[in-house]
Amino acid sequence: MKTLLVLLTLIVVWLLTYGTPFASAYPEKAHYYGSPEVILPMTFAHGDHTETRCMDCHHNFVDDTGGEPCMHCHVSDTSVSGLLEPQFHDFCRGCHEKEAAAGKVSGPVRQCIACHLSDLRP
Amino acid sequence: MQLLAVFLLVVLGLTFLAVPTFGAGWAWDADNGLGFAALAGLLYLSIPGIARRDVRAHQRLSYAVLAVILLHALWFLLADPAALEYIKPGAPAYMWTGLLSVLLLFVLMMLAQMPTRARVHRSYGVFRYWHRVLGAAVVLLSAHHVVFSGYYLRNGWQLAALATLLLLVLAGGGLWRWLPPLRRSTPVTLLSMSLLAALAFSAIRNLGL
Repeated sequence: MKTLLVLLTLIVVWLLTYGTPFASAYPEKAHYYGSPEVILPMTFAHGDHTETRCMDCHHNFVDDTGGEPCMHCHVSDTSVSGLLEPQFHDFCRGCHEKEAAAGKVSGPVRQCIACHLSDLRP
Repeated sequence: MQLLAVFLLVVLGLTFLAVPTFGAGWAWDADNGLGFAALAGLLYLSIPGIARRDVRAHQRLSYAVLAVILLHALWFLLADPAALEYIKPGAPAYMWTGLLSVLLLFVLMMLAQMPTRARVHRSYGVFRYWHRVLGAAVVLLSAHHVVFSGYYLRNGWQLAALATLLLLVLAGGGLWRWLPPLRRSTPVTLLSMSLLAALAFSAIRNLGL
């Protein structure tokens, strides 16, 4: 059992150092969307969300909180930028989870890499 | 062995009290099944008085529980390249508590090894006191990691059931005296049962069994 523990520990340390050898792509932290901090990339395609009402996400269309793209405020306005991770996890993932729980086709509900890749689609 | 099976059933069963067929993908669910199995293993090791029945078995089983925890981490790091970012500075608190609980478990196990145990603690009583305190900290940190990472425990009554289980194990004391003599679990049994439980956990969620 001790040998197994040593082996597992070495593999974990190796993975922590070099990352998984099975990945086709790695997320790269950078100053996305004009963020002053380096953050993980996020992928989003409007084409996958055609059944969602625009205002469900674009709250600024109705509450007059700015006309910039969503991420601009959420990464640079200090009143919300600190909440980027919990807010977007709750919002995006929360909606996907509701869809999945209702037995509908949904977006990713947990796998990190399913969302945290650079956005290459419209 | 029977009691370990009961703990696995109870801990993993708790997650099925809400949307039992709600899966996040085979690999993801199996890995989280391993995490829940590790929590069940930690609770099993923490039952008051169980270690005194067979100290050697308690020690060997702790190695097996640590192995399940490491498998849980290893699988995530292998399967999801973004998971690595969640154990770096800036990661959410529930990831730090998970990491801290493994490190604390490792320290706890090292401090329990002779001759370190005798060198560090003034007496057996002092060792037992600190072993229980650190053990409770490991369980509570793990529970924080499980609860705040969300997803499987979604309702207040699921959390209340988990809190009751933690309370029974960590503060139950004499409640566990009724336990009949147990067939000893071996590390291989614990590992096999954890893997099987994780696979069943994933299968139920992804096949809609």
